[in-house]
Amino acid sequence: MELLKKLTQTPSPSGNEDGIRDIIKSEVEKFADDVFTDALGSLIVHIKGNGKRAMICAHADEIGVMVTFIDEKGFLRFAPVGGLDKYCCLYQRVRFSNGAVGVVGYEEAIEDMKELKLSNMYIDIGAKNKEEAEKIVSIGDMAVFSGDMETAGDHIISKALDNRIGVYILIDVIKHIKNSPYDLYFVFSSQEEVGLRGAKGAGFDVNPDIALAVDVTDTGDTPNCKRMAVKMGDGACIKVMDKSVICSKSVRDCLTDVAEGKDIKVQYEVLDCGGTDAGAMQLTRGGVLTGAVSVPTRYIHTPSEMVNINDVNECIRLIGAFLEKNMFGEQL
Amino acid sequence: MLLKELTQLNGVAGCESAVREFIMEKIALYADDITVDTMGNLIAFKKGSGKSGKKIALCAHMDEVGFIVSGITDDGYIKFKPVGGIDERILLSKRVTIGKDKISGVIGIKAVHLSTPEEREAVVKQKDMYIDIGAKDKESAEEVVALGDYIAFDSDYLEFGNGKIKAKAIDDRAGCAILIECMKKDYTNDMYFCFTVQEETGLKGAAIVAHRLQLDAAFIVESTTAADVPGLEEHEYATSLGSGPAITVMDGASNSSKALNNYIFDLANENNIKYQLKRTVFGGNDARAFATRGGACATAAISLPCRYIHSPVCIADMADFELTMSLVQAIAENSWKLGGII
Amino acid sequence: MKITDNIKLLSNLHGVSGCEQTVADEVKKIFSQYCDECSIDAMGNVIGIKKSKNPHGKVMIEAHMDEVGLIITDIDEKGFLHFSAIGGIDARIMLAQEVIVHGKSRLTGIIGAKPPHILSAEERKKTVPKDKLYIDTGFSADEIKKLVKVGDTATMKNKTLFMLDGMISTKAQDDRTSVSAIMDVLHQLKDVELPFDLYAVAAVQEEVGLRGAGCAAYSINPDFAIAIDVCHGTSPDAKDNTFSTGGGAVISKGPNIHPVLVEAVINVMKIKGIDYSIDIDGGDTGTDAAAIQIANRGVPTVLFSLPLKYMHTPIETVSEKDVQSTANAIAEFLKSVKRVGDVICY
Repeated sequence: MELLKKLTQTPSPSGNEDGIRDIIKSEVEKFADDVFTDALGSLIVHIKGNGKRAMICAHADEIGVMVTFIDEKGFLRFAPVGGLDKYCCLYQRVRFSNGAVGVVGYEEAIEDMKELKLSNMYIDIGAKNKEEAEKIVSIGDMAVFSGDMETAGDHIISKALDNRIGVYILIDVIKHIKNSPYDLYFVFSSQEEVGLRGAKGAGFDVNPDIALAVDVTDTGDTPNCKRMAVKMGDGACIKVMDKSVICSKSVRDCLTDVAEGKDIKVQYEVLDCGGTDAGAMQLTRGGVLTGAVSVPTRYIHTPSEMVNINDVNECIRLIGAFLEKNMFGEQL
Repeated sequence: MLLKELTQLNGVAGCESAVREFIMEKIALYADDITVDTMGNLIAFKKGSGKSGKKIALCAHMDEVGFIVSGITDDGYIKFKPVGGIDERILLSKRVTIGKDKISGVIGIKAVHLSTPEEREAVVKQKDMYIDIGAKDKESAEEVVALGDYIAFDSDYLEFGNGKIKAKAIDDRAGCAILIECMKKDYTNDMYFCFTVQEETGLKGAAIVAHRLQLDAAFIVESTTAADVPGLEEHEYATSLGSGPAITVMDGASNSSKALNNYIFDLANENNIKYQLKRTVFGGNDARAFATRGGACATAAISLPCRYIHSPVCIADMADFELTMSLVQAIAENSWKLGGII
Repeated sequence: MKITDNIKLLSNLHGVSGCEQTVADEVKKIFSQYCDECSIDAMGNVIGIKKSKNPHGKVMIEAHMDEVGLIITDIDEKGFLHFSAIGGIDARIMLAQEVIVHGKSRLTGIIGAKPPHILSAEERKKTVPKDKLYIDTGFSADEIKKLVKVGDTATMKNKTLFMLDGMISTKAQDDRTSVSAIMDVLHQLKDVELPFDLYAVAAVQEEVGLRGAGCAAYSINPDFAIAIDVCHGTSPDAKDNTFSTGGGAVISKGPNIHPVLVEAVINVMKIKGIDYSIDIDGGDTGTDAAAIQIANRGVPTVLFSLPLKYMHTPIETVSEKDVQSTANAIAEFLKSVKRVGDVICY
């Protein structure tokens, strides 16, 4: 849990994944043959093998805000980094990588909250004026929302569980993987929240035969929510489809098989909105057999994302078992 | 199988001859007298083996909802008007057959890609729809289709799910099938079996049958809405599939005779036939015409619950159908008792 | 081999985007009759190669074989299936539609919604949104959960209808009828020795974002490509920007299309007396041609389209004549190419 706390609380807005990379690197270094960072900022962990190339990807970035303007009185205007819910921004604290903290306010002249726009909001970092503000931040600086990690029963609540929980899962898999038939590339991709950018580049370079993404997904088990079959606590999700990808049937079937074989609790996921790195990896070069495992997560893209620890453990078991089975058959 | 054969026939209100001819052939052996009246109603009489008290009929309508050709455009498309009550929301992209030669066509709609967001959200009005039969122009279309040709849904009979059936025109070929089966037995009381026309256009056929026969009691064997589907609360279901025939207390057109209903409930209980009460008052059927048009007559309606009624894909439960059949059979067998009841 | 036989055969198969296996197997069988090699790649694309004895290049002809459809998102406590769309499906045509649910076995389903008697006058005027529709399979929850799981797909159910004046109406003609055209091209070239290797591609996942064709074009890396898709046919409610069915082949021009290649194709159609119209797109054509054009180091691409009425419905309608004209145009053009470089050099 200490590791997950460290992972979730380290700011890592898209394109600024430096901090998180260092943590991951220190965790996995001694288990890997090679660890390196590519030009887009993805951290690639290579565990050599003789078989087909497998790329397992979890994005390391998170949504946030970027400063676009500093006014005379020292208030900051901002643009979204990734899919930001405008209502969710209000009165949240944001944290810059230099440690500076601010709060999001809005122009109170707005009469109807439906008219609230990000452009009517600002960040107050307690600066007296423009000069003072500019000493702390500059245009282009990114910040993330604050949200401490807490536990509630079997559940973890924190900011940035999208997708530090995926990162956490992969670190655990790396530490325990033993008999994989694959040449393994674990990719902690950058810039997923702004359009699957890191995985696209890394996918081309790694040129895998098979790819697996690990990310979060919505649930359909809260009061009067949108209908969705995924329930928190019902196990790891085998993704069937989202807006970015229809997962390859052979990969889905293989995930189902290993889950049945090891008695791992799984459910099937059809996500009506949103995409994952799987979409980028599948369309690499001539096409890649691609699947995805998701962690059922409530309140995604808020400072209080929630996951169930049992689901997380099932994901770890599922991915571990998947990587130890040769999907291409023994003879290959 | 009767129900399959009957639902595959086309008999849009006003053009029931194919259904009537089929039924006449099936009942010829079992009827003592057959009358076809001016509108095309088929009235079969079966003499009873004992002394007859009351003048009693079982009734089902032969017609179904559909359309009629109202125009042919210069570019060879068919314009049409509804015959009977049809939800216009269900029509687009469905197949139909036109006229006696059953010319196939489809109800077209421009692609979603070409439609504005407002168009996508609005229901297309029936009068704006057209049927495409492939004709390259009016001349080509006129070779096979004429104004006034009747148009029926094109939908096969399919057994599926756990004992369900899907077909067009279950309303009321189910009733026709039950009446045909009932005619194969002999009864103590004289019995009239009325296969009516134009129920869907306003209980028209039944009106003149009622006038002709001046009955004491009429049992209407119908099909009725089952709305046991998502989005509705249980009190809105009206009837449910799998709960047996539905007995009407009152609907928008008539009140069932309490005496007849009690007679039916007793028979159902004696024979262990599961039934349900219709839990709504909307709609109406031939009972209204029989109740009033030949002088006061006691009526009751026994209905097969049917989802998506008046569509090409009516769904009914075969167990319900069998139970409805048994109940109607019992009604006919015991009809000699009605003398003391009404 | 009649072109209509293949249209019927292919449109009666079921394969929404991402689940094209059944279609792919059948297409592979037919491609193999004319190709020296035929395989299915990681995406599921079928790629057949008709080899040249002395190849001076590679040419790709492509159409997609997926169809729009539904995916099961949830099964409710009464056994009704809830779904999302795969590809662009018009909610207006869904009510009372018959579908086939591809669970453990094939099941018939009916799409339903709240019945009209329960609706307000306002509600009756509005299209029922997809999330308020459901599939009724006639099974109880316990039964259906043994047969269908979340993520299974459903496709429209319809039979092929041959109508007056050579019109054909059925589901999935977008774009399997173009695959039939490719089969006809292969048939016409059966005994023709071409100076290039010809790659026939039936691509997957076009309806969800041109995903298959780009990957196929990347691995094949052809010198040029001919894509076939559908365009909108004229109907009483769609007269603008549509093409009359029965008018022959439709060929596109615009930035998505290679300017030299398209003129070479048009020239052959003129010489051979093949009826055609020209479709103009100011940018991306929204078809696989767009993905192919920018695959690998770039592929000169032309696009043929079949005028199709009622796109993305179970009653998609084309003219047999247009399919034949398109196949003829492509076959004649490929026969006319002596050197690949001749038709693509600026």
